[in-house]
Amino acid sequence: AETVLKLGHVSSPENVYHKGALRFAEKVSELTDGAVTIDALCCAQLGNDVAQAKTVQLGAQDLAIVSSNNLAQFDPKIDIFSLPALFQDIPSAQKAVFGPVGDEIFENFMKTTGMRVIYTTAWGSRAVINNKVAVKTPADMDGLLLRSPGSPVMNATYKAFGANPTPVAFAELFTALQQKTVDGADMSPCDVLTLKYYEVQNHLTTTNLFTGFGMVIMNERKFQSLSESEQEAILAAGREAGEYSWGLTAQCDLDGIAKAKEVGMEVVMLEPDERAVFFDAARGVWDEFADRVGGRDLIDRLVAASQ
Amino acid sequence: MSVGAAIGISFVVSLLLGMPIAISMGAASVVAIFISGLPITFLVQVMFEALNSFPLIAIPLFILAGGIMEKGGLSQRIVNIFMPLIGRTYGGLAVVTIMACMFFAAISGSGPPTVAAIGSIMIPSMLKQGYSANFSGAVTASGGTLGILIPPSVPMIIYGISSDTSIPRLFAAGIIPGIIVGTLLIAAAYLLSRRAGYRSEESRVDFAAFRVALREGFWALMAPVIILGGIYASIFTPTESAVVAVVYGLFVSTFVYRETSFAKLKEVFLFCATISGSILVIITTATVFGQILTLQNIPQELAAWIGSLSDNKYVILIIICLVLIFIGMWMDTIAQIILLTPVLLPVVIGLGVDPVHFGIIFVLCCEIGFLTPPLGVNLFVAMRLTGCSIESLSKSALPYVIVLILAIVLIIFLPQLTLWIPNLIYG
Amino acid sequence: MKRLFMWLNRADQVVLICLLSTLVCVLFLQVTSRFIFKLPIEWSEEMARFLFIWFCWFGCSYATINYHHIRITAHFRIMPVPLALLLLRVGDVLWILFNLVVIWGGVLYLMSIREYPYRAMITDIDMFWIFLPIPVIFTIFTLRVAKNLFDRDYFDRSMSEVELEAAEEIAIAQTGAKQ
Ligand code: NA
Ligand code: NA
Repeated sequence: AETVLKLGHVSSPENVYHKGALRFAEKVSELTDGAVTIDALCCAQLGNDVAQAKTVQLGAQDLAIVSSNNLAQFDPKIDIFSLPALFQDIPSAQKAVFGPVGDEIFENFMKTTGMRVIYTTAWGSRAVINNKVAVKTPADMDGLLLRSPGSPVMNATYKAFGANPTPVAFAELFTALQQKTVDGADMSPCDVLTLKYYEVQNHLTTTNLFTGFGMVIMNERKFQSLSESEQEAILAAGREAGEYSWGLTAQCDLDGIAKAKEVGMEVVMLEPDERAVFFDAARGVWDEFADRVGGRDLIDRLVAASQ
Repeated sequence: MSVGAAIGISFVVSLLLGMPIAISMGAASVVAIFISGLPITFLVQVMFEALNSFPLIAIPLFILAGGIMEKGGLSQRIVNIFMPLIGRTYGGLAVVTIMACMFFAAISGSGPPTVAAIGSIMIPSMLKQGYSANFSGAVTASGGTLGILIPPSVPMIIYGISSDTSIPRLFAAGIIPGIIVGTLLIAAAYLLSRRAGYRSEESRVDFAAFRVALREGFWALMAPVIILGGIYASIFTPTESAVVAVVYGLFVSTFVYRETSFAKLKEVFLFCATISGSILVIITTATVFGQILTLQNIPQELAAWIGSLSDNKYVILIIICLVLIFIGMWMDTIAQIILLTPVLLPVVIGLGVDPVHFGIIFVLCCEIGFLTPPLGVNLFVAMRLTGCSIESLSKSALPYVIVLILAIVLIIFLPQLTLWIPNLIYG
Repeated sequence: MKRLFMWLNRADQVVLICLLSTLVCVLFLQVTSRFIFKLPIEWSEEMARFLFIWFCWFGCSYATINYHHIRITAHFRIMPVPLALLLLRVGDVLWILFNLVVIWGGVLYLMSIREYPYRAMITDIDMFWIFLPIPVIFTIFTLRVAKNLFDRDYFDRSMSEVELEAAEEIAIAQTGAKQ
């Protein structure tokens, strides 16, 4: 009989999550000759992403795309990817995540949570945008009121620079930036492009402190209930969809930077030695979180894998 | 039997057995869960997560704020300001009711608290002057619908979050439609009163009394200034404005008007608990219900079907409104927005409709839902205040529903009415 | 039995008032600490959500006492009273069954949190404790529905009295409140 798997996520249909999911669905159908089809449901139709992860864990939903930092509620070790200054850029992050250290972390995630990571899908490498100052060194961020998405690691990082992270809901962010409730935010150049933040912000610095990705998770019991050839097909389709969506995001970040320059934002492209200053300052927060995420050794191996 | 049919039949049977609407949706979901082999933990997981949302907290807080302002004398003073201006106009008290509702709507974020706060004062006065109970209840219930159109507004907050639309923009967009709907409701109330001959023979316009009431009501008048001003100055978020309303109401009624007492506060707190407990629970089971339908592709098919009917955006918007009004008869406003925004928004955006414009249209349809049986929460509050039955009240509210439909048509065809102010403020 | 419910109602009132007051305080603190003291607090948003969830469920159980739950009853008017009463009773029994399903699902859910960790994002509280009140509240809730079903022994009284009771019952259901 034909198996239909429901895959949910919270992003809009234009977002890389959805484009990657469609490629995944296409490939799964192709590799299984239509025996398995993937139904991608966008726009939080199945609830927010933490709720969807729990639903996948309980076995009521088959797959979900959830941002890695939100999965730390299920396995604190996954927060290793939320640490600042791990990866230089998207390609190096991809190298680490797709490599043996990444596999090791995902394998452990499956043991802890009962959810298998089918593939990952990047959403970008965060830049700092703001209306006040061209950020060239960490000291330039002193006193800057930055929107924070609420993650403890990110808050600690920006506090280390002397900035004040403030929680603002994403839906209220555009007007908050426009009305100068907050001075700036950190987000990927891709989001700056697609959400038109270049209209209300003057400065962009490619700090690349955080390179984030969504994890496409599947209930392991459901996965095991499929035939061996179907399992292989899903994993192979996942590999291809993963490569495809990381590529899309890398391109989208480049487009975002190009657009920012085009509309006259002051764009600071950090040189490797300038970025190293940010990275060294940010890595101070590693110690605070090292035990929680699996130890300093694992962090070092992950960084090494990206080089 | 298909899951869709099973869920529909068990829902209707449960309703006919007099089970609460929330429990009926839950029971139908349980049937669907057993048929489709989902784990039963799915039920409790979704019921829990449906409430695990910060913006929803504004609902009980606005109910609480409404109760405190009602018991603490703020609503009374708002009413007092308009009273001396009535004179011998037909339906003067009805006009005051709607004006007071418009004013209170600028403090409150939802419908039922607005009805309760103004109705508890105006309905007894209308009955005393010989207005019929049905008329008084219907006019207050209709005025109370403005609570969600004039900012602040909980449904707009929920829509903004579900659609990633700027909430302050939505709030700004609600101002002109709010004034238009208020004016139309006043016109309807005047005409109906004129036909029924409601007017007070002895009162006359009294500017001296008006000035006194204005001075007395200063602190009540400041409430919307503080709440809306605080949101626009970005001191607090739209959701947080509800707690500011509560604290401001407590402050003024305790230290300025000195009308609070421990017993009154206890009553208000428990009233808020009862209303939240009976209304918010509908959101939990409605979300389960909706997610099961989503897993069966039913809303997506509905959206695709609507999209296939026409390429004309006005035709599509009108069809969507008819569907929303029909669903609004049965379903709670918030649940409706959470469930339908993700499926309907892509349809209208594809036709070039501005998401802010669509948000206001959606909210207007929800206003009608407040007034239509079987689930019309504004009517429920008016029932409690007048002792009328839901059938007779909904019949009396029909003219106002027609007024709201007219307003929707106007707003659909003139998007500038909604978009002008937000574009002026935010560019 | 009567004493148990009186005690439960009193306890619920205290819990509800405490939850709502704490909720107001936490959120007001959130606004003031950010705006006046420029010190955004990190835990308030999450804390408020959990207080809110408990408040809603306690409120839901509490609303049962006076039939405050919203139901559709217009059709009961056009049928004979005993039939209306019977249907309402059947509905109440199904309501109890639904609650039992929720309690059962809740216990399974708690077991799943014990099997796989699940912690709150900011406060890092084990979600087991956040979720635990729900099956407990539903147990009290179910007792209340059962009480509404059983406390008046309709069939021992004369027919006229039954009709009177039924009329009152239906009126209560229709207006959603005891006048
Ligand atoms: Na309002
Ligand atoms: Na309705």
